[in-house]
Amino acid sequence: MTSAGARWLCGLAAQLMPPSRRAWATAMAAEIAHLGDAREARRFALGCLAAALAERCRDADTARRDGLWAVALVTAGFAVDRLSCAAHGLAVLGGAPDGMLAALMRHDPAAAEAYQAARPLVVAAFVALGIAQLLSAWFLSRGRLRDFAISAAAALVIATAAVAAQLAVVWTPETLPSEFHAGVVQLLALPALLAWSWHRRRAFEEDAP
Amino acid sequence: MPARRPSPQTLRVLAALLPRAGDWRHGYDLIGETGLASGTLYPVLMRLADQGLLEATWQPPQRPGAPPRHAYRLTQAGVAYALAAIAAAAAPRDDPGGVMA
Repeated sequence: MTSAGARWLCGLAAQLMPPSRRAWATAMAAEIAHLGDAREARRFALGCLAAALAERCRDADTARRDGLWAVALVTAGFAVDRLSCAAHGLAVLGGAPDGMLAALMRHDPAAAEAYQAARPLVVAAFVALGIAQLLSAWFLSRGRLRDFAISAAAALVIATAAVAAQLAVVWTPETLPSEFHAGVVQLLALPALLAWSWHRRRAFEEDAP
Repeated sequence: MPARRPSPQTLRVLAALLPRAGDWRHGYDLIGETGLASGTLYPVLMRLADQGLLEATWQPPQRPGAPPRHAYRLTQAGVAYALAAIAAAAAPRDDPGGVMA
């Protein structure tokens, strides 16, 4: 008689098994029904669980998806940061105190005027950039690379506009502006991930049994 | 055809399947014959099937109420591979990275 524990373990193994291997999970679960000894069935089911876990770790599609998710999470982090900047800007536009403006008024009244004029455009650009980055993260997590490429390109254009608007007023950056950080991460991580995933798939196909 | 030497576990599975290469065999029977755990046996079977060296089929249950059972046997390519792999494993290893037949 197959124990409930063994059947549960086999069910768990079926859940863990990558989609390309689901037929094997079914085969293992079916085999367990033909074992007479409950203890033997449990050992068999534990082995199935180990096999499913190993296949999941070895699965190129799973690794690729996890990698895309990781880049998506980082991108979403940048988006949240940008949207929080936009929220602060909207609060200032709504009348909240602005330390930057106060400082400019003291040291460079002309720049303060330009700063005030550019502020709505910069805030709008931050909102748009945050949304574009969130969309990029969403498309990455879904594996929709074409849609991601479009939204990432839009984010790059918006980031360039935001940086240009700020540079036109007061700001002279010594390092790469933070608007471009998400794009740099994507530019470095995604080609490496996709190339690695492709090589891993090829290695899997050519692997000896 | 795989380009690398098979693992010792794969050799045990091939050695178990080869003598009655035309017969369908079940996973649990192979566990008994090879001494491998199910967690080792099934990945080996998957790799062999991926390479076209093993074929699998669902067999109707032999007792009422039981589910169909998955059965395995070597393909023609699998028989050739098994013969070459077992012969190579028995031979002195003067070419560790050698290509199997």
